[in-house]
Amino acid sequence: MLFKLSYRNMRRSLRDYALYFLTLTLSVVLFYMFRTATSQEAFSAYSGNIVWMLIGMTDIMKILSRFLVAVFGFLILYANRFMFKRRKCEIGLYLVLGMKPRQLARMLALEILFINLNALVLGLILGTFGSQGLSLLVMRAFLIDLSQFRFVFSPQSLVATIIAYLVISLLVLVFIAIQLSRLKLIDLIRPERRLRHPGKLRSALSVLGFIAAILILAQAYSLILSLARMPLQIPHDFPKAIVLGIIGTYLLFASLTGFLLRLAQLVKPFYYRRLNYFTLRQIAARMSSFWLSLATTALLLFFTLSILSVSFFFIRESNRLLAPYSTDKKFDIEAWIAYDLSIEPDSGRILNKQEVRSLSLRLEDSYRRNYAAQIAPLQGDTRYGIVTSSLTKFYFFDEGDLGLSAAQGQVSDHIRRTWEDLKNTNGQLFLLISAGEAAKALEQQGLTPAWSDTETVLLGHPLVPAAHEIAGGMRSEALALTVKSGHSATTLKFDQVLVDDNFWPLLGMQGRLLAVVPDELIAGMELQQQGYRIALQRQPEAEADHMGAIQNLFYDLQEDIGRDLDLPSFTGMLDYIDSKAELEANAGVKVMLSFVGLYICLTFILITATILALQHLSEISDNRIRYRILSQIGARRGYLRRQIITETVLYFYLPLVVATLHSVFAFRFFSGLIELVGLSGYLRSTTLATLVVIAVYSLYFILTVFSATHLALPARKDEKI
Amino acid sequence: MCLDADESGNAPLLEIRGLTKVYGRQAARTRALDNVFFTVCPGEFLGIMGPSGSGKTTLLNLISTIDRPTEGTVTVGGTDLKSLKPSQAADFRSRRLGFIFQDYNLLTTLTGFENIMLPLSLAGVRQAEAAVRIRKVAEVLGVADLLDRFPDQMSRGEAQRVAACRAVVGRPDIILADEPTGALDSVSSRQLLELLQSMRTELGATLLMVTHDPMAASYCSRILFLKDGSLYHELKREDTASREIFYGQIIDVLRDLGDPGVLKDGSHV
Repeated sequence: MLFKLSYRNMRRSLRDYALYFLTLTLSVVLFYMFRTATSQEAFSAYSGNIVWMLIGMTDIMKILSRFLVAVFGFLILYANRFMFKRRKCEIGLYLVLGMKPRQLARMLALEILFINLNALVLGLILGTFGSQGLSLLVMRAFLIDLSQFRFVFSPQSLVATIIAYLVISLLVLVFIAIQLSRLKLIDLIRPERRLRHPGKLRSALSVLGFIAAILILAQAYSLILSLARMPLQIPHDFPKAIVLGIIGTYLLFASLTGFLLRLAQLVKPFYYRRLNYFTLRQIAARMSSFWLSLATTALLLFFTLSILSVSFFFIRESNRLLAPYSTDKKFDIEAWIAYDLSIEPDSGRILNKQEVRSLSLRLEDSYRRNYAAQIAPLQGDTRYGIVTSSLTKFYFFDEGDLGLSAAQGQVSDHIRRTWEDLKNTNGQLFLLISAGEAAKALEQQGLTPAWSDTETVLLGHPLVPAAHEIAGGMRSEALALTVKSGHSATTLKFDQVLVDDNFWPLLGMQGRLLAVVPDELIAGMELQQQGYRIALQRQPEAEADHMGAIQNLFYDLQEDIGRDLDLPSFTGMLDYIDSKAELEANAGVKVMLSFVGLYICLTFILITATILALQHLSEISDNRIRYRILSQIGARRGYLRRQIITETVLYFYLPLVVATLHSVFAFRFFSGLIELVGLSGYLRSTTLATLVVIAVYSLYFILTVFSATHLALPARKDEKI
Repeated sequence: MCLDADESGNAPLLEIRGLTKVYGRQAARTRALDNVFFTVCPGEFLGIMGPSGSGKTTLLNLISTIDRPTEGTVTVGGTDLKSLKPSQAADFRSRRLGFIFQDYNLLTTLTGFENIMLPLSLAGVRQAEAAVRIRKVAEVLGVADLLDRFPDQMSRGEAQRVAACRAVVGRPDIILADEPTGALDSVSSRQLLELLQSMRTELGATLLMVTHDPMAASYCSRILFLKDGSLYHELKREDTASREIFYGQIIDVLRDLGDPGVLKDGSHV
């Protein structure tokens, strides 16, 4: 009997359950999909370097999932509370008719469990499909051959999902028991809550508020746009832009409809045209009580859109992030060996100018010989997988020995700050090379210098944003660089500033600034720190175990040179960079974070849409009387339906419009940064992210419109008021 | 007068013929209204009285097109309500009927002016004309100072007076008032009833009021008493009779009807 009653109840109140059902199903889909697609089962077939990273991702997803169970639990309780409120009268009636609370609880529990079970099954089916797609995405992101794909099924995730589902169902049942025990029959005759009009003072303030909101937002937008051109200001100005944006958004929502209402009232023919004034007043009243939650929704949506766009970008573009390191023109291993020639290694005695010069010559001689004997012959040697190698000599400086000056007046603040930041992040940010040495290194790779022997040239790596800034400053402010070394100081004025990838044999992977200086000038400088870069290019398929062997080569070289010079402890500082491994890891971390971002964002959208829908529906339900009044005094059903749709559209899409507006500017910012480092494709990611948000949102919107119409308007067949 | 309509050439505004409403099916059938006949003439202030369950509300619902009769016809100004589709019924309500409810049902987000304007907007009256009509009606009915206020800034009596304005402003054929004094204290009640009377005398409105307050009913020009869904008695106020005398007559009928409220307390004129 009870079962029959609950079954019939459910069929009857399908529309009330629709939102709850959708939320529950989507939660299950998300939960299962992400856990499965990133599970160890999914990756067990792959081998190589990538696996440890994927396992790391599995762990992150596991921890995240536990947290998200709590969030989903909250969301589902929220949806349940709404449903309970809707059915209070019905439940009260059962009690009045003499149904025992125990029986009632059993009946409701049966209903809920039935719904939950349906949602679980549907969610698992959809989630299984979803996880295949997501798994393909993971493979693509980590450059795994797609032919290795096989059907992903994770019993572990299945069990985890079912456990989470049981926990949540249990919570819901406890929640219902609590609600039932608190239910008072008197609540049945609770008067309907009505909307209030916003006060006069508020509507007067709204004009000021609106203007202020526009000004603040304009400031935030212009700040963000300027940051896209000056990325090194980000630490200083980005938080400011965000805070301004948040304040502006709240102000906008607090004042927007008040302002529009005032504006509309000025144009009487418009304001009083048909029922415009009713719609406007209605919306103004709603906004005046809900601006806080709408503004919060807009901001959440905006952050979701931004994170989602960036996540999509890194997932989609991970191939290209890694691509530069698999092309044949780059060296992918660099060993920098730096020597300080000013102090005698064993005694600690400070050497004089003459001794520095003689040590320098001996070092150079020994280096060339040992390199030629030990490393150069290894080209094509399968033990190491080395394709080509090169030796280049550079001069280093301590940070304190570098000074920036402008030809006229002061160096601008912006450049000075960029310079300081660069110093802080990049130990040896500035190198010197002689023009002859530079020409030789370029020639070896079949390139020719774009400068004459007598010019002083500054080179920068295009992947380093600061290089663009400093280069710009050098040109526009005619900056000069003063370098101190020993007892002398030299001021370098640059004839050319080039930020160009074409000089890759000279520029290190880490993107330092490099000055090419005429040989005579170098000879006159008292340079005390010199070093060598040995750059190697490995075969693309080179094995990971070669790495140790290659590193040992460098250690041997260092020791041999020390012995050769009869200064055993004079071994220099070795700085070893395997750029491919480093960047693979770097991109891997980004992709991993992007998956986390994707997961969190989808959850975010789910939360905002659900809460928005339920809030809107309780509002409609609490204010049903106004539709009844309108219907009584002769408003057609069609008009009332349009009115409800208008209100729902506004409630749902106003925050989305504001969020989209924000993200247009955020888009300029992110794409600016991305273009600066020579990548593109952010537009596609943003478009995709926006479409995803709009799709989920619209699904909720459509359901909400149906429910709202059903709630507020009587069924057509009995035109009862 | 139009009671026997065709003679005076003054057709009745509302004509009820053989009106019957049955709820439920088979064994559970209830006749809420049983073969009721009556007419309302222009300018009348008709009261409908009767104990709970006598069919007052059913009658009002049938006249206001929100329910359909089982048998019989309701004709308002020559329109047979049975023939109306739902959307036509909505238009009919906005153009031809005015409503006053017990809980006045003003929209809390609109000012008095805007509330009064609603039926005009629904009927498609232009803003300039509407404003003129609202000002005039408000002037006549003495609510001009309430136009810029919101309902929650009005007393109950004031809100009900604004609601009365809303009912009359569209120049409906007939104004239906359902226990309009139900939620008011006695001072506000009298003010409202006097306002209803002036709607009739100053603006030429026709009113049909359902009430079970004999004091309110004593403002009517004619009263129909319903009992168990049928007409029980009709009482007409003579032109010369004062309200107090009419009140006495009402009380007498109610006593015959066996209204317990009247038996206990029959002297609150």
